Amino acid sequence: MIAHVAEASEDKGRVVVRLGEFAMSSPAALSAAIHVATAFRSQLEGLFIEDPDLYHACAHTNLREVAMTGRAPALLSAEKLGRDAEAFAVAVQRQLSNAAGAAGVRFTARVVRQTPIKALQDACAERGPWNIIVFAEPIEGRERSAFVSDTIAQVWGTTGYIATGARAAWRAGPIVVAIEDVGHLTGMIRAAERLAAVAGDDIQLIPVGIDEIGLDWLEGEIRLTLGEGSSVAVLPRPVYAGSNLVLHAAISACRPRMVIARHGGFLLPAGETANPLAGLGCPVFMVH
Amino acid sequence: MFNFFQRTPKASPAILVVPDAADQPTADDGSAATATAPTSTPIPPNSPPAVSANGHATSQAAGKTSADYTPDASIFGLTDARRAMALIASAKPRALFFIASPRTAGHAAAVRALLAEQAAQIAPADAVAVVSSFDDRRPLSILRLPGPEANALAAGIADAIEMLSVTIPAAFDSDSYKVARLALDEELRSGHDNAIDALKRRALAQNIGLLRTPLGYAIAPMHEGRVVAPDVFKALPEGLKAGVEAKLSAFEAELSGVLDNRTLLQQDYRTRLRDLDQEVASLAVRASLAAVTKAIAAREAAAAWVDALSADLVRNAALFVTAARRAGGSARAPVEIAHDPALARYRVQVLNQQQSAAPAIDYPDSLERASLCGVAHVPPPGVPLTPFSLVPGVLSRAGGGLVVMDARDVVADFSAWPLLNQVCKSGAAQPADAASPIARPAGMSVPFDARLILTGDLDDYRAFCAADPEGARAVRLIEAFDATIPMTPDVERAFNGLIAGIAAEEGLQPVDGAAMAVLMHDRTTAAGAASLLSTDCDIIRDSLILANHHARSQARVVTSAADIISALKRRARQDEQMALPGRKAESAAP
Repeated sequence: MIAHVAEASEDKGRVVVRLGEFAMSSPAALSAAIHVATAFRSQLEGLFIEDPDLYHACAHTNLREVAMTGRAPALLSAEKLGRDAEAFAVAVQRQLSNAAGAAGVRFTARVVRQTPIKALQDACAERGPWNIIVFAEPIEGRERSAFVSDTIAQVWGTTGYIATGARAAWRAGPIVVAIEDVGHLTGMIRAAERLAAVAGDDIQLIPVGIDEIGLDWLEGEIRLTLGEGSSVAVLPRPVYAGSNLVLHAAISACRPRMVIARHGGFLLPAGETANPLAGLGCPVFMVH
Repeated sequence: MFNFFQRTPKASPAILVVPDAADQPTADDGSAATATAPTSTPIPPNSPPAVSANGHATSQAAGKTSADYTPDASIFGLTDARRAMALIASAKPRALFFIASPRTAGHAAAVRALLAEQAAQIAPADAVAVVSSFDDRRPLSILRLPGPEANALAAGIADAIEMLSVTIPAAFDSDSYKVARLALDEELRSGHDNAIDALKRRALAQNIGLLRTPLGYAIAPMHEGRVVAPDVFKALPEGLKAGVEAKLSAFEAELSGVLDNRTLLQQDYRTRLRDLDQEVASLAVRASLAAVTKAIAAREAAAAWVDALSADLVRNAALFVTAARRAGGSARAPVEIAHDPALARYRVQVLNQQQSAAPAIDYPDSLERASLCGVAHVPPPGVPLTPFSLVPGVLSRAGGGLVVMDARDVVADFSAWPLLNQVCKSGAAQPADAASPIARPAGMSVPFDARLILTGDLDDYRAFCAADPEGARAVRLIEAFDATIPMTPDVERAFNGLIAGIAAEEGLQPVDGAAMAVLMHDRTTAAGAASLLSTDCDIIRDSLILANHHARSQARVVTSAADIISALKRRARQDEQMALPGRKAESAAP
């Protein structure tokens, strides 16, 4: 994780918040970003990415905009786009800077005109491999879901990603860790301990899988790793029942502050999923 | 029977007549008295003569005391009064009666006792249960059910609501509901996003890009995933350009359609979500109301109301979920649920909760509308009226019993009489509006099945008739007790028994025959004619108590005529001082 870097005052641990592509930021995602920055004593960067294609398109004199509000399609000029985009960028940056200021977290803001993956690659490459990317806009729909998967696959220099569903809320509750394999066990527990320490939250582990025998073994490994007398609770494992919505419902019932899970597993499948985080109801800290 | 005293004119000085040997005293059972009668009883000057009334033989024989008579403290004329008042029980509901009786404590107590007897003979009317109609245009409904069933319904519904406060939140917190809800949410989002995604892909396949802008989407020509530069586009052959522009227009129209369709999808989602919620809630509601539904299945109106209640509970299940969230997951106390304003519409308010099998007798404290008909706390506009907002009055909680009022109160505050008359005629009491005591909230009307009783003496009846001659015709007069009764041997015996009864009740020492004669004389004098006897037992009781005190102070073990005379003098002085209206009226009587 980024903690040791931040603690060593190398000024490299960073939480990069990818501000929405013309979608308002989820308050839960911003709160999670602040919480993580506080836990790892790192700085926060708000990155507003403008789509260069859109500005190229504005060079066409007859470019028309179909409004979401139902207004009749109208010509879209570069000036109008610039005004609208700037207003939007200021609004979402201010939203984040207010939250960071209130929590006493160092904050910087940047606007870049680049393809989103390239912009994130550049931002994370600037200061070394100890970054966490936060997707500020709610992740819903296949396109955004695919974007998350693409980011995780193509952006290097990151140690985790935070995403939220449309109905996610930020509330006091345990840090729930969904364990799907032993490989991530130690790292995920350590991250959970750092996150839980900020507000004195409980940590709850939940084994996730589809194979009963495999789950028995996984649960045994978890208990071995925790050892006797651990304050970390191991929750009864939910039945997979062929849908990750059931897993989501079981985890949501714990009313967690945040879930730590592996991206690309049963809980959070990689690729184009219509609504990968819908049922969790809280921000998700994803590792890969 | 024998003449112990010989009657003398009222103004004549006292003459003591000694009984002859043939007129030996007998007890009221006819046996000979064994005590030796004194030959004379000292009657002080100016004291009333001790004579029997109407020349009848008296039983106050010398040597006999009140202890020799069978005690019976019943008021005079009780049997006749009972017979006259039997009319009340046999009358139809909402009948009006005026019970005339002297204004004495003894008569008042007797009238109350006889009214209680009448009330016990009346078949109980169905109880009135006020419930929500679940219709804001007609906020309240009335259910008529036998008292025990109405009370059981109220208790059953309260139990069901308490149960639903737990079961509905649990149902909405279940995994099965959450999964179903997630699936529905997913369908909505993917429905819209998929449509946009599919359109984007289709457009891109035809080299048209849908680019997200701050306010919507821009549609531009693309080539190999990038927007075509304007100069390149301008250099295209006209035919190709026209084709691209046609595609731009077509996708623009299609995109507008997809965006518009969001509203339809949202509507469909809302409908399906409502169906899901109602499906989940109805399981809990059916289970909680099962016992009540079974219990009132035979009562058509009540069963229909429970069906309406069930539908309303299902429709508004969110009330329970919200309340549970407010409570933060901890169980809500029954009293908290019972007084939750949001759940007031589910309350059953039984207005005339009878504690016994007999209908109630009610005596109003005040004749104001609020006290008579009840008070409705009408909520602000837009907030549904609930049964909980009704505080019943005397008339609205009377059931099939008796509502008894003092006629003097009614005459003194005659503004109440038209209301009482109207309630009896219409059979419905309309509560006052709490905010404006004069106004009556629309749609609030409580059935009135009781009989209305006015009490007072004949002067009160005459005053009442004078105040409303027309209305008085609807009121049936029952002369329960007279101020005087004709003196007969039976009355004399009853008088002796009454003295014995009062002595026994009050723990007094025996009263000798002469004393009883003096007392009887006082009562005939009060009646105004020798052939009549005043029925005011309060004065007899009071005189006996005073005389008893006097005798004891003189260390006598039997109360004598002198003691009675002393007591009567003392009463007369007291009456003069206090100018008691009762005594004045009595002395003024013909």
